[in-house]
Amino acid sequence: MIKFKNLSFSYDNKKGINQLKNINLEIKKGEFVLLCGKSGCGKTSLLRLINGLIPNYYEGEISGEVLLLNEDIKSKEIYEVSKIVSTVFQNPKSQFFNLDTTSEILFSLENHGVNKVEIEKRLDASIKAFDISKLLDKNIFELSGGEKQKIAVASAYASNTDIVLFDEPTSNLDMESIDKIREMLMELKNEGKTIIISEHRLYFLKDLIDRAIYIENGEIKKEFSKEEFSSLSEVNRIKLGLRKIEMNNLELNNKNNINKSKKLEIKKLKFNYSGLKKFKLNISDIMFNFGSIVGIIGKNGQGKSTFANSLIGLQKKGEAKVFIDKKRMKSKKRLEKSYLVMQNVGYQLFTESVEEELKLGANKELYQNRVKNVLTNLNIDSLKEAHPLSLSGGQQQRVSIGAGICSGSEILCFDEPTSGMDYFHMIETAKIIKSISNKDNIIFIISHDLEFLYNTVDTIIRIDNGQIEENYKLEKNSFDKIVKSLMN
Amino acid sequence: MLRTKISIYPITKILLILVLGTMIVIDIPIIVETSMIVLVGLLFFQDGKYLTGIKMIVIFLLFLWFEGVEIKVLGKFDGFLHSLVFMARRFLLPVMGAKYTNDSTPTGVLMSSLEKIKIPKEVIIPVAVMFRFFPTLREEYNNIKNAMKMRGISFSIKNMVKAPAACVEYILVPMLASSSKIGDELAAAAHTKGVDNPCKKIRYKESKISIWDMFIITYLIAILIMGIWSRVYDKI
Repeated sequence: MIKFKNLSFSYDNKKGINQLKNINLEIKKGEFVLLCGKSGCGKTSLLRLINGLIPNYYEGEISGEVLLLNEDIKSKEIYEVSKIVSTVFQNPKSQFFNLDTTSEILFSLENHGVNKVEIEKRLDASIKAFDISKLLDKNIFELSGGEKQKIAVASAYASNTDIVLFDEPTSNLDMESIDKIREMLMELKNEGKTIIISEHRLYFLKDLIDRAIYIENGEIKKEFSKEEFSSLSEVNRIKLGLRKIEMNNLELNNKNNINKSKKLEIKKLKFNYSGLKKFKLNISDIMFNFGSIVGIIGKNGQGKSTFANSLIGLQKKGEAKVFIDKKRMKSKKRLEKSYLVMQNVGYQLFTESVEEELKLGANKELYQNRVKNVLTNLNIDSLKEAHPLSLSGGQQQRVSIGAGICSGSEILCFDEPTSGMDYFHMIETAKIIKSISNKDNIIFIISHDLEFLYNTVDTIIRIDNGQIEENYKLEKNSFDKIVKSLMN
Repeated sequence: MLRTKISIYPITKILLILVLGTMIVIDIPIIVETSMIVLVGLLFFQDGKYLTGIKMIVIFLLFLWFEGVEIKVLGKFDGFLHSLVFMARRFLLPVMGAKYTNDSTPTGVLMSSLEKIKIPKEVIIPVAVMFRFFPTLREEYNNIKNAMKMRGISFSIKNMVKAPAACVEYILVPMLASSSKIGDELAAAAHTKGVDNPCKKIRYKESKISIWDMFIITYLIAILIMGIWSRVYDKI
């Protein structure tokens, strides 16, 4: 079906760096192949060579061959390739060309001039296969991340291509949605589609794959059969920088420096959200100790972000009675004392160098001195002259964290800090968060990533339907309880 | 079950936006403005967006009312306040017209109607990406505004006067960075769905010229005549 022969590739804008080196790979019809490896190892580029985005859209130098159904991909226009290959991307925000779901599902068929009878047929088939009738004819901005990804998979299915590619499809999803995607992948596999998926989260794929290919610095370094992959030892898995393959037995590796004498107390936090999605946040009487790192879990769209935004005073509307050390803090005061590290830290980088970035907002004399310390502690000292937007995702995140610390924040929130991160970067982020935690701050982390939470937080709160449903200390044996509460 | 008919032809909507846009730069009598608000309101109703339609009309009426109110709060700035509201009112029409068009037109339908009037593919794809991009832009803007607030830089009038360049820069730098990334990814995704296939495309949701289009165009012409008439006779 797909054949790579001595393929090497480098992007035009990064001349001299071979993104892919000497790739020799054959993928047979109906195979389910996993591409794994650290961020930036070349997984995405490999997928782009199959769906024709390289060299038609992203230009670069190719040597060797990629054969799609025995034809050299270089001789094909991208629209010809798109009749054979469809792709589900990582970011639901930027892969929908239409604003309504039905048009999006059928977009590819429409573009290829498929007749109406056939279009209807494919739509019916997708509804049947994935039970998505409730999601049809909706504005995509009304959908949760999980629902958007379901539409993306349905769209690939409706396109009726033999090959379906997935580029980190679950990066932004909660556990339940990941399970839905797993079911959809199973359906595609049962229909005999050839599936190639690049992913960091591996636990939901172990029963689906036929083969796993490990890529490092643009080269295929290892190949595993399904059995070899499931029985990979912990030591080897960590050495390869891969996420958990079997999601159980998570080791607790958090920090405990709870400061019993300083407390954050929320007597009341209310907010009514009326937009495309309506819901109420209603939180009362809960207390947190300073020095603790609190994980906020819950399904998508239940109010985790709204809770964080209201708590730190970004969302001024609604009612709030929040006390630090028994002193009432109004929203403006809370905003001064807090910082949120956004999921897309790109929004938070404004200046032309890392050092300036840390100084911005840190206008009080007191904090200017911190800049130097923070640079060293976060290991970004060597980057202080660099332009923040030129840095890698992980480095940008560190700069943003640094900016938060320099502005003297006592309440630090993180929104999905490890989405789309490999094992190595996830552990780095966990370490950094633990290192900035001290007796005078409190850290909240919104996350779906249990592996990461076990490496970072000491307390868990679960938000469901705008309320805190559970609040407990994270223990090694909390695992089943967490999974159960997130799955039904 | 599903709505497969888009009752107003995209070209008519584009025409409408062009007319509304032109209205910002020329001085039009209030009767024309009111008639246009009624038209756009009707279109929202026709699309089932009753609340948006009503909200828009109420805001327009408030703006109108405000113009007649004499305020004495800011001293010499009172006049400035009035002209601010006046500007806001003038921009209400094109903004709402664009919102209506954006909400009610599937990108695919827009593309095929542009194809029908023989606009080249090289123009259509970027236009479609732009069209698709507007709602995202608002999301991006809100995120950046939040990020600025946390650093103690707010996009307030006070800061805009004190340090306009910095404010604009802080909004623009992250906005351009994320926009170019999203735009790039959107176009890439569209290419993997055969958007540039030169064949004749068939859309599931169709749009044909209907009685509504006739109505809108007649209405526009009538308003135009009314506008000229009132100018010539300077009655209203």
